[in-house]
Amino acid sequence: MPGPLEFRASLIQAADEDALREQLVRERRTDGLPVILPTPERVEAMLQAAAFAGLGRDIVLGEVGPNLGEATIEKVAINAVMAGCLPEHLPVVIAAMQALCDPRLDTTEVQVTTHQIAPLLIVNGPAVKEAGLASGFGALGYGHRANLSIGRAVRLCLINLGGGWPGMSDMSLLGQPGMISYCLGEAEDDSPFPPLHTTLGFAADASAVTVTSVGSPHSVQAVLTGDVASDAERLLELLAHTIGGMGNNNAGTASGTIIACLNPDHARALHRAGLTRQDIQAELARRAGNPAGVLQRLRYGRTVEDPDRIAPAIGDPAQVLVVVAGGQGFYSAVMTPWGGGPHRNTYVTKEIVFYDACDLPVVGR
Amino acid sequence: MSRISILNPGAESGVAIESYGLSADVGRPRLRVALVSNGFPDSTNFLTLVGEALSRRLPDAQILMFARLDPTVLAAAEVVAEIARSCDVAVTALGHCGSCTSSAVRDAVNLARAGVPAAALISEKFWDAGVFNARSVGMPGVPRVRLPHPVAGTGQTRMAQIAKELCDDLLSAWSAAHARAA
Repeated sequence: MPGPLEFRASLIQAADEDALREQLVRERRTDGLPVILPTPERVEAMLQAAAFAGLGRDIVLGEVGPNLGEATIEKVAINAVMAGCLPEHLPVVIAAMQALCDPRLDTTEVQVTTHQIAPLLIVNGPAVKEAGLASGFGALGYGHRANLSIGRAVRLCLINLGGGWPGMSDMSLLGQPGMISYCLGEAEDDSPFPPLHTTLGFAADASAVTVTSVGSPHSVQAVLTGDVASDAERLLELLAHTIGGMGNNNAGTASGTIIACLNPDHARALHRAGLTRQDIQAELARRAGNPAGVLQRLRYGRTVEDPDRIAPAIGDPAQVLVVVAGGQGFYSAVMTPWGGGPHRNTYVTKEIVFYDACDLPVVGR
Repeated sequence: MSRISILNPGAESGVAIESYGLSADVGRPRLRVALVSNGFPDSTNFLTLVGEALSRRLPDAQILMFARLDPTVLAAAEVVAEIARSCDVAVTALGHCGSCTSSAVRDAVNLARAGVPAAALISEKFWDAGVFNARSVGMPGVPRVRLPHPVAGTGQTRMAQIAKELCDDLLSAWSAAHARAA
C-alpha cells in the first residue's frame, strides 16, 4: 500500500496552474467549469478523511460504467478535491460512488441514455450535519457548498472514471442542471416522518446516502387551507397527477424510481391526516395513471383495444421515495425516472462511514 | 524551469482491448443471417426490411429474427448462444438513441466474442456514441454500418430504401473486407 504522498495515480505536469487548469478543461477532465487543482498535498489531506473511516487509498469501490474505470478511494479523492470538497465531504462522495458502482444502478445505461436523468443523492443521518449539507430553502440550488461540491465530485467521477461526456457517450438530448450537481440532505428535523434511511432498514444513528437517477424537479403547488382531510386529498391528487404526467417515461412504463419531495408544510399536512410514508407511497401508486387510449395516442400515435383502461404510472409503491426537503411554503417537487436498464432505474442506499469502520459496509436495497 | 504536478483524475487502466478479426464467406450457399432487434421503435420493422433486401441479393439466404422489446438491455446470453449455434452472421439494430446504440454495439461485441461476424447499424447522429461504446467494452474494431438519421419514424418506403442501400456495406462488414479496412 502506498505511504503518505505516494500515489498510484499518474501525474499531469505543466508550467503553471493556469496551464494545468486549461489542460484539464481541454482534455474533458472537468464538468466545463474551472476546478481546484488536485495537487499531491491537497489529495493527501483529502485522503486523511478516508483514513479516519478505515478506508485505504487503494481500496477499489468498483467500476464506473460505461468505461468501467476503476473507482479507487484515491481516484475518488482526487475528483473530490477538484470539485471543491472539504475532507468532511469525502465520506459522502465515497458512499455515493459505492452506490454508483453497484450493478443495480445500471450506471452504464444511465450514462448513455438520451433521457435527462442524473444521479440524485439523498443524505440521511448524522452525515447531514457533519458534512454541512443543506436540506431546507434552496437545497438543490446555489449557495450550499457541501451539496454542490459533493454532487459535483460524483459527476467528475462519472466523467473521469466512467467516461461520460455529452454528445460522445452521454447522449442526453438536452441534459439538465442536476447533471452538474444533484445532492441534498433530508430535512429530518422538520419532518413528521422517520428519516428515509430508517425506512430503508438503517439505524437512526447511522448515516446513509440513497442514490437514484431521476430527471429535473417538477414543481407541485398546493395551497393549504387547514381542512385536514381536503388538504391531504388535494395534495395526493396533485402529486399523483404530476407523477403521472403523460410525457413522463413512467407514464408509459410504470417503471423507475419516483421522488416525492415534500416540503415540511406539505409533509405535516399529510401526516396530520394520519398518513405514513408507506400510506403516501400506496396512495400515489393507486392514483397515478392515465387512460391507455389517450396515453398511447399522444405518446406513440397508436390506438389500443381498451382505451378506457387506466395505465398505471407507478408499478409498485416501493418505487416511490417520499423525502422531506426544502423550505416551508406552497411548493413541493416530484422527480420522475427514465425507467430503463436491466434494473429498471431502481435506487440503492449505502452507509456513510466517517470513523473507524473495519470494512466497507455492503448494505442496500 | 520547474513544473507543477497534479494527480490524474482519470482511470489508470481501462478495459483490455481485443481485436476484431472475424470474417464470413457471404457468398456461401444458404448463408444464415441473424437479425437482432433491440426493440427501439421501428427496429424490428427496419430489420425485417433489411432481411428482405438481403434476400433479394442472396436469394437462398436464411433470415432469422431475434427480437426483444427493450432497447435498454442486452440480448440475453442464451439468445447469443442460440445465434452462435444457428447463424453464420448477425446484424444488430437499431443504434438510434443513447441506450439503444450502446445495446446494439454491445450485442454485436457479444456475438463477435461468440464467434459470429456481426455488425451494428448506427445512425449518423449516434455514430460517435457507437465508436465510444465499442471502445468502452474493449472491441473498437467491431463492425458498424452508418445509417442516415432519422431512420425510425420515416415510413416504410424510406426505410426500405435505406435497407436496400446498406446491403453492400453490411456484406462488406461481415466479410474480410471490413477486417482489412479496420
